[in-house]
Amino acid sequence: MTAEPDEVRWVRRADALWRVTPTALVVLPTDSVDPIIVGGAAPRVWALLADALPIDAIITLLADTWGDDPQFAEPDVVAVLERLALIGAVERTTSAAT
Amino acid sequence: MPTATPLRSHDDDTAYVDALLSTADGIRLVGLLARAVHDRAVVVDDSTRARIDDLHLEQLAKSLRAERALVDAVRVLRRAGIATRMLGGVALAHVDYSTPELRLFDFATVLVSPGDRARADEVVAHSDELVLRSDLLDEAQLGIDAADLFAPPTRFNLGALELEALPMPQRLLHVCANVARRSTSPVPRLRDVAELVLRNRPHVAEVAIMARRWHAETSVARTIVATWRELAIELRPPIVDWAERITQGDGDGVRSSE
Repeated sequence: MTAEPDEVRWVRRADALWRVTPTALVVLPTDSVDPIIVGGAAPRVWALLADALPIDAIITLLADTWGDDPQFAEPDVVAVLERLALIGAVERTTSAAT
Repeated sequence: MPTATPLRSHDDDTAYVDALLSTADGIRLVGLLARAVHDRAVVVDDSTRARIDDLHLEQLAKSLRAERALVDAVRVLRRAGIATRMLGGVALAHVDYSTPELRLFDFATVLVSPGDRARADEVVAHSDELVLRSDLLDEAQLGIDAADLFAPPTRFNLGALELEALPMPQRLLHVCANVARRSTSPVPRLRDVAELVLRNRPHVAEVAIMARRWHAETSVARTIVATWRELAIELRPPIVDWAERITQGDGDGVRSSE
């Protein structure tokens, strides 16, 4: 996933309804009947996804937050993004960051 | 919110923790309890923390279901050319609380004008998570002019929509009226009043003028005084002094025409 070109960016879907707590993201994507709870790194990743970001930037920012090496943050970010993409809570865009 | 009421830690008091969770759940204050635990204003053991977190997530899921019903309803109402105002929990959560995670709700309330009510009932699908209202007359028999309710709104974003809430001071007056008419615990609504006042710092003259026009000056003042007394809030905006002056004059002929 980190082999993605830089112009590919990830961002929240604007029509997703959501709440975050310190331990989890609760999100109701537009195509989902029931809210879905995503734990782990999801609350922090979701906060970053207010802006469209390439995955490498998300990993770096999350690692900075944790005071950790990006290589340790990468599996968590990838897992969360895959889950959020699967449920339709985030989307990939190739437009420039705003 | 700074308060003179101290919070206890309850690591070793299972019965108290059970009662605390049950009460917080019953009056929709789990979001505030979860925040207090996270901030270590209330210290609990890991098991209790997990119970509170789970309960909070469950309640947040209910709020999201209500928001879905609301968004779907507003879309069809807009297509039908019907103006709306969001009332109650959904507006308070997004406009008046520091984060919507603190204000929980099981259903969303949408106001339409009385002239649009029949059409609104035709286009909006029935849902347990949505309440349509076209008047506020059952709320303490207020003398509310519809023009006040559909005055230029306070706007907030929800999903991909921009929604309209009542502006101030109408939003404060409506919440105060809710406190006056409900028979259930007033605590969550007093908290709403506190958040509204502390976040918006309403202009005293604007509140006084509209409260008088709605024949609600005394009840609004009583609710604000009760809020500051019951929640022991240390900050004291000017509206609290106004409310105390009104209530102190209540018994000697200063009372409004309510």
